[in-house]
Amino acid sequence: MAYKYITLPNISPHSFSREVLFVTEGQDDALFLEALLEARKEDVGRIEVRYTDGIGGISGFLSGIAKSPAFTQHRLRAICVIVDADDSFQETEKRFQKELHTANLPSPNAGAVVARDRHWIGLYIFPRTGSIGMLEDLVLDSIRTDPRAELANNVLQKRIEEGIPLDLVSKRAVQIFLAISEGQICRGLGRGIRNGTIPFDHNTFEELNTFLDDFLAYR
Amino acid sequence: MSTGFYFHSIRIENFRLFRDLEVSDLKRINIIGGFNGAGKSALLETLFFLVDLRNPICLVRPFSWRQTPLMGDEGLGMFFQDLAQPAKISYGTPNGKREIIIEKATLPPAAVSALSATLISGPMVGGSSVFAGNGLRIKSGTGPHAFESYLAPHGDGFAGTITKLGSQELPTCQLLSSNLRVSAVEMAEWWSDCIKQNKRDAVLSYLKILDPSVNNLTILYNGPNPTIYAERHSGMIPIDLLGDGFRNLLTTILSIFRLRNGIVLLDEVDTALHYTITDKYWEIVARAANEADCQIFATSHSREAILSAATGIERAGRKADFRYLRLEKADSIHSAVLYSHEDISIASQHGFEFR
Repeated sequence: MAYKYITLPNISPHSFSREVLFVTEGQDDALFLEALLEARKEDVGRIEVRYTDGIGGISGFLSGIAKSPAFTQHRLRAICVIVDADDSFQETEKRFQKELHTANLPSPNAGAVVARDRHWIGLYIFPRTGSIGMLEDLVLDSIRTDPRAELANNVLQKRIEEGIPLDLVSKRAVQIFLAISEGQICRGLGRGIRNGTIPFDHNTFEELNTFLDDFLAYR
Repeated sequence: MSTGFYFHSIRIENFRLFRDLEVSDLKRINIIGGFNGAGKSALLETLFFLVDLRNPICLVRPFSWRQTPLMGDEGLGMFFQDLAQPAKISYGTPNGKREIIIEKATLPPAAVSALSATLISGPMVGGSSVFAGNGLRIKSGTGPHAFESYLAPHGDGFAGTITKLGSQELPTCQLLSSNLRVSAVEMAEWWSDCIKQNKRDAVLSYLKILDPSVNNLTILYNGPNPTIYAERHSGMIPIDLLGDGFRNLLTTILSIFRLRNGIVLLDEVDTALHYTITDKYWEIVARAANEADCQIFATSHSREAILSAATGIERAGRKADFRYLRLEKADSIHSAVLYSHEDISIASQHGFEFR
């Protein structure tokens, strides 16, 4: 499947020729978003998704975009930051509101969109508003009753009960799920999603879809 | 030792192509970018006008550099967005805020007499009635610092006179532009000035960073005209034969040291520099500007040149001196987007456009 929204590789100097930009912290988040946008049948020509290779890179990325000619001259109209809550939803929300403010951008609450000076800025925190965790937790919710997901969870729980210290359990569960699913083998959720294994019509994505409806309705 | 620089900020209202442009937090070295027609050169010329105030035709000089005809009452309109309103330029200096008002005015008798006197040998002199119509008044300061001058259309140009000349601190300024080539004679004068100010070794040391083979500069006469020759291991060579890159660096360095505590305006001078030496050029300019306490404003279209300036200035240990400002124009309103050295580094790191 061809990439439709994600600019790879980076072209320098990058001038942001599309109206909408999603900024995610990792490639899997970007690929997930691309697949979701495609499932929503969004207009490919107006959207770009870029990832920053880690949460630490987003700060500079935002300040660079906020000063870019595309943004100041309103060719780039809407920017959405999407990150994982990890251990604290509140801390992550506070941190990225501060990052946006430092970049001289409006700072919406997570799950909301703010308009200023003909620009729309959105902030969304995975897995969903108010919850800790990451994208993988959101996706696992959508496949919780799938036997492959149950199997993956059982294996991980057994290992944890045996005293094996396992971090990032949801990432590991998704990797097991993908490894025993049809399609090409892949390490991460993003590429796994491209195999068509995630049911985007599941109601677990409802909040995210509602947010995207609001964000993409910029004027 | 660095003690400061003159322009800390500037706001230009209803003047030339600027309806209302405000630029805050200027630095020692300011690179001005932006689309064609965004006002880069006009901003340089406005800065020059502000420090050239004691010249009665300061308002007109930039137009003559551009070879733009300014004639009659219609010519007055070239200085304003709205001729019915005054133009105002306010700017921050180390000694506080300054303001200059330029407005359409009826010439007072004293100005008429002065203007007529200056044109006594001109072909259109016909008494004071020649200047009885409208002109422009330029005023600034109050009390002992009050300044006032008048500019009036006359013949195929303008004539100007100063009617109040209070004490005003005005730094010296030099505009260097690819359109205004500094003559061999001027360069020889500038080099002489630097020698008199005991800056011979400083200038040479900076030139050697770019071309280590240059041992000295000597003024020789070709007929009646003095010319600077570079003394190299291989012999003497006129500066003009060393190439535009070296010549540009020399004029820049000479301007910086000659003007000491002054302002050097560089209008796209980097176009003559090969990309491999642009960062060296800026390293030298940054060191020299700091040593001579000089402020620099330079225009550039080139991403490479702007990044090289940031690199060179960092190499000189003067990162905090760097400012890039991109002029923008939307719906006839100008604005400036300011970049620090860090902002440019981030934009470069992510490969973002900033011009």
